[in-house]
Amino acid sequence: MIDTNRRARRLRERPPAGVVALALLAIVFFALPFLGLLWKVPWSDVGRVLGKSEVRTALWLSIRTSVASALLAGFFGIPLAWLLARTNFPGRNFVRALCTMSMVLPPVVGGVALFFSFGRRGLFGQYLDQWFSFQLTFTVWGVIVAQTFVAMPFLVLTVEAAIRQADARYEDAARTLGATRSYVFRRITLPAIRPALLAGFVLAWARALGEFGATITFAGNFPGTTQTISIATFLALETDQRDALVLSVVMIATSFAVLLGLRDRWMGRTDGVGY
Amino acid sequence: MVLHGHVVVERNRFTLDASISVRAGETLAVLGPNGAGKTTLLRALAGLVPISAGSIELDGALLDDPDHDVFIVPERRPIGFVFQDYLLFPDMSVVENVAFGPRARGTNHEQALARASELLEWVGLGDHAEKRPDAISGGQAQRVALARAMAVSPRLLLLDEPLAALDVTTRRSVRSDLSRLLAGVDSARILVTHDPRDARALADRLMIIENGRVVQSGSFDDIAANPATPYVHELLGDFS
Amino acid sequence: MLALVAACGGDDGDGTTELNVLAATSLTDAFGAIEQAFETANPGVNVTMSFGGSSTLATQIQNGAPADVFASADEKNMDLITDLLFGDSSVFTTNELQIMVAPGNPRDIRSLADLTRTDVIVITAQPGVPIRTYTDDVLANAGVVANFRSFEANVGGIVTKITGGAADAGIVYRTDVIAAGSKAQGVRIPLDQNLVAQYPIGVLAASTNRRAADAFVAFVNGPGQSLLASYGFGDG
Repeated sequence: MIDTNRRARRLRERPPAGVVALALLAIVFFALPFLGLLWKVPWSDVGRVLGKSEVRTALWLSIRTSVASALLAGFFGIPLAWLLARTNFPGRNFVRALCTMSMVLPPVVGGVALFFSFGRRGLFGQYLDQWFSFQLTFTVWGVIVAQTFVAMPFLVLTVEAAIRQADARYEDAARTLGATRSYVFRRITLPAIRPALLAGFVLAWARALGEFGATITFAGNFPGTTQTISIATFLALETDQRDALVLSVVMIATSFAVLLGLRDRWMGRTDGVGY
Repeated sequence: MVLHGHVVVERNRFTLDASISVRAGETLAVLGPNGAGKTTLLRALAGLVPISAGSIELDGALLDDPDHDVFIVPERRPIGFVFQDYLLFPDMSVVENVAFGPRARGTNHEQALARASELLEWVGLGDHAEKRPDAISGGQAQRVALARAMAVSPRLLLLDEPLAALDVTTRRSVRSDLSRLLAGVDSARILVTHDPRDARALADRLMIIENGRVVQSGSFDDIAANPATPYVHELLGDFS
Repeated sequence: MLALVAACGGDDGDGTTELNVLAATSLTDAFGAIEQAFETANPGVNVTMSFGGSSTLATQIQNGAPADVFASADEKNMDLITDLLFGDSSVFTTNELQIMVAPGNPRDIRSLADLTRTDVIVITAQPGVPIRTYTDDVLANAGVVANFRSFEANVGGIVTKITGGAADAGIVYRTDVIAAGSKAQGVRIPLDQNLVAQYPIGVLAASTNRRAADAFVAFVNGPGQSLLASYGFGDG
């Protein structure tokens, strides 16, 4: 008894050296690119670049559209995750692959696919044009559609995994007490997976914020309507690298702050098992 | 006869095939070794597992009958369920747990809380209402689970190993508390256990299943006197 | 370091010469044909083409991309890397500017002035891209302020959005209109308002295959001219 305790303590104090070495290399691998970027940033230009009205416009557009995309991803993605986790229907794996494909697709390809389906002459977009004289391309709605398209899988996979891990017997207990499946979903399932929900929302939001390939291909690029901070950063790389570097740092700082805050504030204790 | 059922459930090489009847006001204990199909039987009665053949009838109403395409979903069956481990909702206080059933069935918040408070008084936990489930003992959790199941006034109460999660020292007193409480319940009761002492203390009648089949049923003393299988002999031999 | 340079260009052991050519997107089809013809005429040379927006390519060259020849769609982007050239660049072909519209011209766009109409969705490229520079110059010549709805990353983005039906009009190269075939048509811009896009080509000082690079440039200026013409370049 004493022996095992002592052994356990020693293991905790000294993790295997090989594992630590590889983990350290991984950390360096992630840290170096950011150091490389920070090293190149023209710090004296930060004020000038952030003072530009087009930069502020792009930043504000990005904030609005990425939050809207994350909310949309949740509105449709949480029910989808539940369906994938808690029901067993033929072709479920096919549906999961279909609904998460945009995650691995080159974003530009996703943008082209959206263009041919929701564009003005697209498979469905043509009816939007015929019936409502409306097209998504060149509008803020197009940006939100493109961002939701690439961001939702991150939420779906996170939430599906959490629902799978949640003890389904609590849902059974609730049903025997007279709760319908949708009541169980709202009162039992959702509260049980709250940490994963938040993680899913933040992942989807971060992906939406960083997205530009699908967005510019599907929605275009115009200040105030479709030019997000990511698109502005990407395009600035070719015309004004100094601006691009400053914008990159702004995006890194924002994402880093959110990911850091997520861990500490919302995910509960970080030293426990799981989330 | 409150409950009359012929429950057939087929799953991965295992088949449960048991006929079961319970009268109003009666407690039936279902005994058997691990994996005999006891819990599956309760889950089928509650509608958490659909039966593949047979039928389940409660108070003359058909709940499940695959031959006639009848299946009443769990939330519409007048059945209460006390689960093994009790499964109190961890995000809710004790009183919210008990009020969950009435709330789910559309009772307004105040009335549901009032009903829950009454039931907590009944199980002797009136002053624990605002505690979280992780702040009460196993025996108290079991009584909360009982109060929660009774809050929807079920015609049939199912108890799955209600004493298995408790340690040996508290078991005897919790068992006598439960016995006293169940005496005040007017629903029919089915108690699943693997412990013959539970069955003797709490049940009017016993049913023993092995490998998904009913091997013997009757009063405790009759079965103890004439065990039908080596398992029953082993189980009840000390009591004869 | 030496091995890296050798791998990026120069003679391989088996005697073939690798030649890296960076060329403007609008040259994609024509230079594809020229590559084949050049390789047939010079069996010892293997040409690798890399197409992109001229400004993108200029940025890559500035950042040290291994390249032997650069063909730009405008003088401006060639000027950006003039210090990195071996010798001077020279104009090897020209391209006419046209207004690209949907087949059958459903919006009835006849002149640059129509690009100010609010019922017409007009798009162009972002600043810095040659087609944008030309577009701004042409519109300034005509005294027209177009009502743009999007600034695409390059001329390909303009073409895709018009052939895909999202946008109604945009100024592109005549070669783009020809390449789009039945999916688009061109509206000519009057000569007094139009200007001619100049395509310069140059050999990079960093090239390790200067002879092959010179031969390629000479080929483009010689036998390549008829191939360019067949794709709509030049005076046509």
